[in-house]
This record gives sequence, structure tokens and C-alpha cells, in this order.
Amino acid sequence: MANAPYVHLQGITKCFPENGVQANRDASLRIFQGEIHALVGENGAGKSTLIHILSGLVAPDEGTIVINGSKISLADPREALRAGIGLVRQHVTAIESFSGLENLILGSEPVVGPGHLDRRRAAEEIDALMKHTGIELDIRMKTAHYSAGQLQKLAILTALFGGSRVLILDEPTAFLSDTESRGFFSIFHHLAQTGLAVVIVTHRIREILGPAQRITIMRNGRTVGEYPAGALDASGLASLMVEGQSAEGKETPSADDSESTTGADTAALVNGEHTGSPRKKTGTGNKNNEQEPVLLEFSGVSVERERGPSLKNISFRLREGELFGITGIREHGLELFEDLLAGIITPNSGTIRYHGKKVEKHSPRTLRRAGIAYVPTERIRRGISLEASVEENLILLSLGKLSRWGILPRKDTGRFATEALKEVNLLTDPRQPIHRLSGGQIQRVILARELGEWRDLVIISEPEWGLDLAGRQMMYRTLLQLRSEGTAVLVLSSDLEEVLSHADAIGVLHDGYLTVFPEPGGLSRSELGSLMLGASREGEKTGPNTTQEPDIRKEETDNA
Amino acid sequence: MLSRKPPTSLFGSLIALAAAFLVAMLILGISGGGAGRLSTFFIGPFSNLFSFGNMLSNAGLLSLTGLGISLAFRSGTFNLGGEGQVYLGALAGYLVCILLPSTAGSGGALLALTAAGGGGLVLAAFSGFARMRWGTDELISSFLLSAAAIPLVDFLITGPLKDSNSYLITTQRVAEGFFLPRLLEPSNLSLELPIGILLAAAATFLLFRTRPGYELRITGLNRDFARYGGVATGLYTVIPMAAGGFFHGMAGGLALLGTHHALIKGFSSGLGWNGIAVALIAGNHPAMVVPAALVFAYLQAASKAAMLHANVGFELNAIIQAAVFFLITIRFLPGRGSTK
Amino acid sequence: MKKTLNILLTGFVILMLITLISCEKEKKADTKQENFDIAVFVPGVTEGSPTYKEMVEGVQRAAEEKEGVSVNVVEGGFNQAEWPESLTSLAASGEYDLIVSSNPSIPEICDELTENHPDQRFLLLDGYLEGNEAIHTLLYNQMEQGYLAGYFGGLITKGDLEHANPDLKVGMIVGQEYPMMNQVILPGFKLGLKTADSSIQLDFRVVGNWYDAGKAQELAKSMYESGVDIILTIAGGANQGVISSAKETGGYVIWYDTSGYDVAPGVVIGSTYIDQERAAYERSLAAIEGELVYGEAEILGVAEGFVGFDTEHNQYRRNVDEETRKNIDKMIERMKSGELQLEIPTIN
Repeated sequence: MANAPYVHLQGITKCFPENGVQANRDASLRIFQGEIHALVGENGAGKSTLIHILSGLVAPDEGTIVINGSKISLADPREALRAGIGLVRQHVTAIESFSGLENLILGSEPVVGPGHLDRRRAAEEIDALMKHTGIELDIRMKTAHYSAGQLQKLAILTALFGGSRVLILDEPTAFLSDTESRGFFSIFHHLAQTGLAVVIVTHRIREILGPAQRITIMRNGRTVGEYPAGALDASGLASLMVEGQSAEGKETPSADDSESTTGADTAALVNGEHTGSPRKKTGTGNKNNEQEPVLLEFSGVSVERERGPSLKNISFRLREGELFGITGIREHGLELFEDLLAGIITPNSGTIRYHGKKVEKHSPRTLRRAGIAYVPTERIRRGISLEASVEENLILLSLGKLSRWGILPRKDTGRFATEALKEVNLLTDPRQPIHRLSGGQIQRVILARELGEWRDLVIISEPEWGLDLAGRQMMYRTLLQLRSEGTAVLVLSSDLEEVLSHADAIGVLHDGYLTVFPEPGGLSRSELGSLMLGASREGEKTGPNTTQEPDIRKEETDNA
Repeated sequence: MLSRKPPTSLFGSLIALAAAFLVAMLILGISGGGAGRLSTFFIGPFSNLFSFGNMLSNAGLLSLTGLGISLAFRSGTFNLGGEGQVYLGALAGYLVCILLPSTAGSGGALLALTAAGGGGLVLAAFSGFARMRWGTDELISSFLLSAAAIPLVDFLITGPLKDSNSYLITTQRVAEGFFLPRLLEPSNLSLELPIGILLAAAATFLLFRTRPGYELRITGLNRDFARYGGVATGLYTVIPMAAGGFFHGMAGGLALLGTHHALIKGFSSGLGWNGIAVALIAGNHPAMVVPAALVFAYLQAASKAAMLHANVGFELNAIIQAAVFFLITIRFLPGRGSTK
Repeated sequence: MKKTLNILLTGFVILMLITLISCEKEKKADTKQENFDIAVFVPGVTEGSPTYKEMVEGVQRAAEEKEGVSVNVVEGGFNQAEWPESLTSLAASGEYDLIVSSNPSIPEICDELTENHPDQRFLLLDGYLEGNEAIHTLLYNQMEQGYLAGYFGGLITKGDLEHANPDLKVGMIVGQEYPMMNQVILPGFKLGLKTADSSIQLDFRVVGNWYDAGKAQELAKSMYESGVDIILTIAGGANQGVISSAKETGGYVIWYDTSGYDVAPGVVIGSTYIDQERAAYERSLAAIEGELVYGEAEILGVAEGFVGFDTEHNQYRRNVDEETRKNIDKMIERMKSGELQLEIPTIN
């Protein structure tokens, strides 16, 4: 590492006039070449704003930016680019109809003669780049077919192709599975070794402690401190990130105070203050309630595909008051399973039953009519409409309730929205377009909509994604609360630890088959991991050899 | 399927219009004649009842086609077949008129108008249906259908339906009982503008205050989101297209019964394309369609006045329209300081 | 951003005000003089249409000879549905003492609008309308014109010029069908053909409009390839297509309303003409001097010197054989002397 920092931000202050939020207060950041630097903090700590300022996308009210010894003009993204700042945003945007190659070279197209695009040379350069960095990607494919991980790689390659010396990644692993994340970290390590500076903005402490060489912590818009990796452990880090809220109190002037979350903020949902019809009953959350009615039943459901993963002979029963966690590898069936649950894919064989009644036409409509909540993995793409207002995003599932003779009275919808927001402690104007909200706030809106009313069944995929520490805590408390009220909760998750700690029963999806474990307590994380990869174990495999439908409450049986 | 988000910047609309005016002034200025021409351009439409009323009549027709486009846009579909829908609608209206006895009077006119709407609806609804069922791009299918309908109507007008007594390429006149009342003699102004205003108001209310309107908008904003939320997105693909076609057809019918009283070959040309311009100027907001149509109609009337009275070439109208079309889709970037 | 908007709007308003004020002054100045203002309405576009060009030239020539006459040329475009509105607008403005136009369909449009604008006077060429006190029409004896063209075409296909084949086939391409075409020009042309030889066949095609040269080219091509050696083309802007085809496939063209030899030397070998320029000139002059009789419908032909065949052009002399030329000269003599009379049948 060099002696002088390659990047030095000082005294950065920024207040957003639109919503009065003081995003940065006298914040600072130092980045050295050849290091992996973690910029950590809770949602709303000001990390995103700081790096947007560094990238020239936002103009700070005060402060300086020095890159490689020269002072950089503020709010000039081209100059930041020329100085070698490459930003990989949280939501990667690509031109869907273009191939990876075409997206990559956009803006730095190699030309031969006037305007003739030299694709071959571009492809060669990119291939060389990929070899050099160890990043593998099919750049001939159209990006409309890219997964989240591939889009991430594309964005990194684009930044490198444009000549970045400082690679800034905003929550790079937010939407990736464990295995994918690990792959990325080895790429970052490699890049740092070639002399690049890699800055990772994240709130995932566990993940970042190993790889990072230095850590900058932000809280409430300030830089709390800069620490070498060895100096902190997970809990120390966490407390620095979170601490100070109860002590400092509500000092921020903003009306929306949802970013500094405490235990009190989770109160509303946790205490079961739902709108809508009163809950049916208080379940005990006990595992042995076989008498409870079956809410969702899959019998021998199969989805055959020409290419890609398929699902074979899936069977399970989910009862009231149960939390069933299903895990697996996203690309190898978990995504397909989610689409199947959501009603987007119809099974080739087998039956699905809601409340014991066979579902004739499985579609999102039937799902919603049955009062089922669905929080999708693709929170932004499927879970909200970015250009619509917060209110419009909230009322989607309650149209029947809110409309009178086909008309949606403004007063009613407004009131509904405000109350729903209160439940997740968002005190913000429901009429504003939802894209003004921060990522964490958007998550809450989704939860408010899906979970704000009584639901028989909640299907939630990757519950941790997009949430910070406090948000995650709130999420699990909510799910457990729902369970204790009698709601059946179906969790899809590629994150093993998450699933293990909360579920009543676990299902492992591998090679198209679902293996159900009614007593997951005994399973360790690594055991689950190897199960996902195919090692067999005792459990109920609903494969081609079984004749009966397993009930997740039955005893374990041995099978070959 | 690519998502098309129509630009909705008010600022952008104003810039495009201002630029169009500047272009006009430039052209008028260059060809000599000075301020007199400019005044003819700006004031011409207001200088007599004839021009003024015709301008309003044109605005009324443009409101209808603009409304049709806006509604389709809002649900995420793109109707590019306006020209054919207007023309075919007019034909449908005409056929009803010659089939009915002339004593049918205003009832007959109403029936003819409905038939006209139906004519346009059929063309557009098919595109919507094809999109819903087979994923066919409705932009292309609506355009192709329209391109096929136009020569068909032309053929009928120049052939079997042609008025042999006239030197113009036109059908015979419909019976006088079917003529729509003139509101501002001696101009052509008939019921176009009142109907346009009424329907725009109804559309605004429907779109923003009712459940179907909400579902339509959400489908347009994020189709996946709407679908997973249980909205019948297929329905909201077909219905807005069909409604758009209905409005276009009705515009054709109104032009027939209100102004020309006969099907003159090519009489409706431009209503479809200019409807798109009007919709874009209005930011696809039904409440803004009528004002946008008025401004556009004013532009057209102004250039007509200049062409007729100020010795300006015939192309002025086309150039101005081109300027509007060219600039209207530019999205103007928000000011600095906002990141989202 | 709001600031820029305000500046733009204010600038715009100021600009408008300036033009308003300055033009008011101008207008006042105008009305003091004794003017005769003429509007020439071109139903289409002047460029590419010799008939319209000649009309404009004739009116302008008349205007230049007199003091205080202004001519405003207005192009009406190809959308026929817009012509009534444009003409009404011209009449409604009250600015013009005379509106001049040319096209068989214009009289019926003007006839209607004189109801609301009884003070407007019209001089309409190439059209026919009797009895409207505000309109003077002038019609060319197109029967004679068609006859001459037909006679010439017949002689050529009979003869043995380079591109004339043994087949006795002659072609005719028109922009659209209308009463004058079907009842006057076409019969005249056929009659001329028969006079040349009774067994000559006619291939008659319609373009459908007055501007689609591409389509005309396709039609002409198929005609030439089927044995036609000479085509009379009356299709306005689409005539060019026929020329292109003639050049490509090898054929001849007869030009109709003006001398067209220079348009395509060697291809256009015969031209009938109407002296539109002279008609426009003489009648406009009469109107300016207050001597034009309105309500009258004239028909002028070969004898009066308004319809003819251009036999003087050197291209004609070079490309057409002597015998044909002699026959044409004889025919013209007979028509001039009144020996051969062709009356236009009553047109409804």
C-alpha cells in the first residue's frame, strides 16, 4: 500500500432539499491503492450518498475530494471517471436488448475509422480483461437473460474496461446467494492484488470482516472512524454501527426517522397491530399441532422444462401456524419453485390445494384471491412500481375493500396508506413517488402491503435481502409473530443460517426433488449445505420411490 | 418484451412547442415580408370566425385521437394504427348512413357515430388481443393493420362508392338528416370539441379515481408488479387498445358527419399521427389532452393562415409539425443534486 | 429550471407583442391605396405541373402590365378534402378582388361557397360551370385536344419509327377518372386513333392520384412490354414515371397540356397544348379592367387558338417522319377552318 491515500474525501456535508434529510455531516473517507476497503453502516447512515458524491453524481454542500493528489471538481461525473472512479450501483441497469458485450463497451467503443465499431477488438480486449481478473461471463448473451449475479459481473467489467483504478461496489452481495458471494470476494481479492482499490459498501458485517483490510464506519451521516481489519470483531463492529441511537435520541431533523431503527420501531408489527379483520386465533407455535387445518398442499407437483432446472414430484403440507423454510440453490430450482408458488408457472402434473380445495387454474390471481401474501425475491421488479406513488403501491391488494361502486375515494385510500405506513413506522408522504424512498424504506412498504392485513398464508422469498441488521431483526420478529397468530409462513431462502434458526421444518431442494425435515433442530449449517449439493441423509425424500405424501409433521423415516 | 415508458415532462412539452413557434417565425422571417407575416401567423386563426371555428373543430378531433393514444400509452401499449382506424371508422359511419333511411335523423347519426367508433375499435382491439394472446408487438400489428385498411377504403371511395357527378374523388353526400349541427357558422365547428372535452373529463375521472383506472395505470407502470398483485393484465392490454380504436373511429365519424358530409379520399390523413403528437405534448395525461390539442390546432391553423395569406410555401405546416414531433420526445434531465 | 421557463415565456410574449404592434401599422398603410388583389389558388403544387405554372405566369404577366395589382399564389396541396376549406378561407378574408384557379373540380367547390360569400369573384380555368353570377369559367375543347393526340398516336404506331412495333397498340395513362376525362378526352382520343387506323387498340390505365410517379412507371412498363409503342400521359406529377419507363423500356410519350419535348428529348415526340398562359393572361387582364363577364362559361378550341399541337419544335421535326408531320398539319388545318368540328357533349 502506498503511503498517501489515493482517494481522500474531507468535510463532506450534504442535505437533500427534497425531503430535508441530512445525508452526510462532515464525513470523510480515505482509500489506498491495492486494498479492499469496507464502508459500513446501517441503512441511512449516508454511505450511498458519500460514494455518489465521490462518483460525481451528487454535489455536496461542502467538502473536498482529492484523487491521486489532485483536487477534483465536484459533481462532475466525467472527471470522476477520468480520475479512475468506477461505481457499481446496487441496482445494475443494462440495455436489455443488447448483449453483454454491447453494454460493456457503451461509452468507450473501440472504433476503426469513422464510426465503424470494432467488435472483434472489443471482444478480444474484454476476453483479456476477463482472464486477467478471473471474472467469467458470457458476453454474447443478451442481458435480458442475465441473473443478478451476472449483471453484477457485467457492471464490474464495464468499470474495469473503462479504466477504473478505484472500484466502488454498493451492496454487491445484497441479491446474491452465499456461494455467489464467496465467488465475488475472491474476484475482489484478485483485483486488489493487481493494484486496484476495491471499496465495498455494505451492512453485512459477517461477510466483510474477513476480506476487508480496512473498515470505515458511518453512522447518522458522520464518519465514526477508520479501523484496520484486525481491530474489530463482529459485535464490536455492530455496536459501533448501531450504538448511539438511544443515547443521542431523535436528533435528526427529518420527519422520517425510520432509518435509525431501534427495538421500539419493530413494535407495531410485533405487537400484532394489524388492520383488517381480526386474527383467527392464537396458535401456540407448537410444533405438534397436527389438528391444525392444512392451508397449502402440494401433491406430486412437477414442472418439466426443456432447458434448465425442473421440479419433480414435489409434495408437502403446510398447516396454520407453521413456519416452513425451503432452501436450495437459486439457479438450480429455487427460483423456479418461487415462480411456481407465485402462480407464474403452471405445473405439468400434480395438484395444488388451498384450504383443501383443488386449484384449477394456478395463477397470481387465484393466489391473491385466496388472500395469500407474496414477498418476491425481485423486490423492485415484482414487488413495487417505481414510478407509482407510495400509496398506489400500498393499495394494490386491497382494491376490493377500498372501492365503492368501482370508485376509489381519495380519502379512503389516503387513510389506508397512512395507517399502513404507520405500522412499519414510516412517516412519509404517501403521495410521493416511491422511488424517492431509500432501499430500506421501500422494503418496509412492501412488507406493509403484504403483511399489513390478516393473511392465511405468507410466502416470502429471501427475507433478509435488502435489509440491514435492524431490518432483519424486525423481519424475523414479524414472521414469528405471524406464525404465533396462526398464519402459515413459507420461507424460501438460499441463506442457510437464516433458515435454520427460525423454521419449524426445513425442505431442501436438490436436483428437482424436495426433501423435507420435520425436526430440523439437529441439522447443522454444513450438513444443510451438503444436502443442497446432493449428499443424502435421513429425511423424507419425495422422490420417485415414495408412494405416500409426506406430512411435515410426521416422524422421520429412513429411506435408501 | 421491451417496456416503453412515455415521456411525461411538462417542461419538455413547452420547450418543444416554443421551438416549433421559433422555427415558424424563422421561416416566416427568412422569406421576407417581415412583421406582417408574423402577425398573420399568430393572429390569423383568430381573425375571423371561419378560421377560428375550424381551428376548434380540428382541436376537437385531435382531442379524440390524442385521448385514444394516451389511454393506450397508460396501460403500456402503443397504438400506431390511428390513421387507418380513423379512416375505417369514417367508412363504417358512412355505410350506416347509406343503409339507413334518411328519416332516421339524429338517431341515425348517433348510430352512425357508434358504428364509426366500432370500425376503429375492431382494428385496434385485434392488435391488443394479439398482444395478449401471442405476445405480438401491438405497435407493429396496429400499424400494419392500419396500412392495410387505408388502401381498402381508398379503393371503395375511388370505385364502387364514388360519386360519378363529382370531379373530386369522393363519395356522394350522406342524407342531410344525418348532418351534425353547426355551432359556429360559417366554420365547420360541430360537436367535435364538446364531445372531446366530455370524453377527456370522463377519461380523467376513470383513470385516476376508479379501480379499473388504477389497475390500468399500474399495468402500464409495471406489468409484472400488476400481474403478481392479481390484476388481470391481459384485460388491460386489450381494453385500452380497443378504447383507443373507438376514439379514433369516432373522430372519423365526427369528421364525416360534422364537416365533410362525404368521404373524400384522404380527408382524415394526419389525424392519427397528430394525435400521437398531441398525446405526447399532453404527457399522456387525459386532462391535458384538450389543451394540448388546442395548442396543436392553433399551430396548424396559424401555418394555414400564413400559407393562404402571407405567400408562404405549402410545406410550412409540415415543417412545424416536424419540429414538434422531433423535440417532443426529448427528456429533459432533472437538475443536479438529485440521485434517485 | 423554473427561472429558464419564465424567461422563455416572457421573451415569447414580448416577441408576440412586437409583431402585433408593428403589423397593425402596416395594415393601416395598406388600405390607403387602390388595389386589385388577385389570389391564385393552385390545387396541388405549382412545381412539376406545367398547367398550374402557366396559369401563375399568365396572371402575373397581366398584373405587371397594370398599376397596383398584387398576386398571391397559394398552394393547396394534394389533399382534395382541404381545398374547400382553403378556398373558403381565401374568400372569407375579403382581401381578394379575384380568385383564379384551374382544375375541373374547382367550379363545383366554388359554386357552393359563393352562397356564403356572394361578393367574391372567381376566374376558373380548365373547368366548366354556367350560371353562377360570381364565376367565370373557361374550358378548353379537350375533345379536339384528345383527338389530335389520338390521331398522332395512331400515325406513330402505324409508322415505323425506331420504337414503333408492328402491333397497333397505343396507351393512355391518367391520374384519375372524372367526367371530363371519361366523356370528353377519352372519346376524343379514341376517335383520333380510329381516324388513323380502325384497328388500333387502346390500353387505358388509371394511377389513382396526381403525384405517384412510381406507380405510373410500373403501369407504363407493363404497357410497353405488352406491345404499346406510344403513351399519352395525363397524370400531373406522375408523368415523370412514364418518362422513366419509356427511357428504360424503349417507347414514346405524348405530352398533353404543354409542349413537353424538352422534358425528355427523343422520348416525348408529340405534344398537344392548351394555351393556359394566354388564357390566364387575357382573362385576368379583362378582370382587372372590369370587363370580364361573370356567369359565363366559355369553351375554346383549336379554331380560337387555345388548343393546338406543337409542330414547330425542332425535336418534333427531328424525331418524327415527314409523312406523319404532313398529316398532322393537314388535320390541324381542317380543324382551324371549321371543316372538322368536334363538339363537347353535354357534361352532367
